Amino acid sequence: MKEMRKKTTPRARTEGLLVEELPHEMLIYDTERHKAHCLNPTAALVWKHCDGRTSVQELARLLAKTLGVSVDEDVVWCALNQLEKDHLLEEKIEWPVDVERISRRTLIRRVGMAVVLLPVITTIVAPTAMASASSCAGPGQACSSAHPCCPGAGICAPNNTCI
Amino acid sequence: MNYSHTKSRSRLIAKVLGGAWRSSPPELKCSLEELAEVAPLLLGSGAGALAWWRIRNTTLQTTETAIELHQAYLLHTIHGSLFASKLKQAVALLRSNGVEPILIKGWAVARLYPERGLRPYGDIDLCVSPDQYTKAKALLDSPEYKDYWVDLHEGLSRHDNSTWDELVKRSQLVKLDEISVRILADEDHLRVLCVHWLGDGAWRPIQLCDIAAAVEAADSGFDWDVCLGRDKRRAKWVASGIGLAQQLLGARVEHCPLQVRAARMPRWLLPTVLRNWERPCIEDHRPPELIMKTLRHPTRVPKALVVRWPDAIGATIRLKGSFNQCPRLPFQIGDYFIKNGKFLMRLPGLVRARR
Repeated sequence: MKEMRKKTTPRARTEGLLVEELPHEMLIYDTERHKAHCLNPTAALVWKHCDGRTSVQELARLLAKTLGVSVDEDVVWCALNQLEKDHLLEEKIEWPVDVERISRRTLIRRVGMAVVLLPVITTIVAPTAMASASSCAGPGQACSSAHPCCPGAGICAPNNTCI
Repeated sequence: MNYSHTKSRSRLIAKVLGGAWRSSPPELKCSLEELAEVAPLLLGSGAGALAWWRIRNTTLQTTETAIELHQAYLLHTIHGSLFASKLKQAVALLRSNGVEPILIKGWAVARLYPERGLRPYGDIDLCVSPDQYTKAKALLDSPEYKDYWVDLHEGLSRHDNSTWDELVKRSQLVKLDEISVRILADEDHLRVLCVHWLGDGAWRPIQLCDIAAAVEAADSGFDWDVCLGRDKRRAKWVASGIGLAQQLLGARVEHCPLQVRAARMPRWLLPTVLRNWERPCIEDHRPPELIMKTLRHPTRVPKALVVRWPDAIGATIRLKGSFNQCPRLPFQIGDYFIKNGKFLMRLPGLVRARR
């Protein structure tokens, strides 16, 4: 089973994504699902190094080197779990049977790592007050002929939502 | 402090946005309660990200309000990327068909800010030569480009009195990743930003930030004579726009010519802007229901006529009036009847026909 862990070499999805790197986070917009994600530095590091050749073990080493702390493989698995759920990997990971899909909460208990170093991916949602702030509507927002969908936010569906 | 008084809220908006367009904005002295009070207005008007930029290195940065403002910044950043990608494709399409568009507003002004996500993005405002408008429209109306939301303008006569050839001659090419996009000369763009903001009723604070950013970006090569133009009335509008950016947002104007710095704004202008900033959310300024539709519900007609009453600033600009001390009512009445006169004349007949 350890052998299978070593063989797991995830590949980041590149097609249909718009990536914007900011000083403290990475933004990824999925142009197929019209969803925007915000990756913290740990999650971004894992995603960037998912080249289909680097194993989970190597990813953990890379993380440790960059963050300057020892990093358990579970941290990488936790990041991969989130990346997979958000469709940010090329293909589904073959999860070794001895690796459970770990949540961040479990990870904090198990690894005892500083919370800020844990991988976090959040979906960006427009604050309520902002939903109508633009002259056009964003993905998933309410739209009408007077309030059309923004470029790239899809088309205004009959239920008056940009899809 | 209780800022329930709306005038104070518009002042507070100005305070939060003061200098926010700079790489290192001045320190904001504002309580959490004050920020929380105006945050919905800032978010609703598209200035949420700029507010976050001002508080990002303060003790307010971890508050719930700051997190909401930060979300606005992230969303604008994503929209900015999408906007840039669509803009490049639209420009390439037009160019490959022999049409050279000029971009106004949007990215053309966002590039003056330290980061792409500090400003909201709407549609792509492209201006083309009037004799190429039909061709450009046909290209952009094709199904492939229907979700590009290009707002195509036939020249720039709606926004400016310079001829298309003059504007093209002075225009500049700026890099956007691997392509170049044609935008107006800085002088023309500042004038267009001022006139457009005032003509819309000056209700949107973010557009005054655009003016402030453009004024501060004007370097020694900036030709103020070109910016202010030959039309004295228009020059006064521009000077007033700049004056408001200085008075409300603290824009630096030391490098502006005396004609701008010494320009006396009419007494009614600043209070009118502050009053308009009491309702700075885009939601409050959506075009009203088509008046002919209103006729299906005759009880709504009085309200429909009231909501169409124009603001003093926009009415003056639309009627090409002077910014002087005279009352604005004649402009408002004139503008109202020009826009609604045709309908008002037909109203009695339409009502009779419906009975």
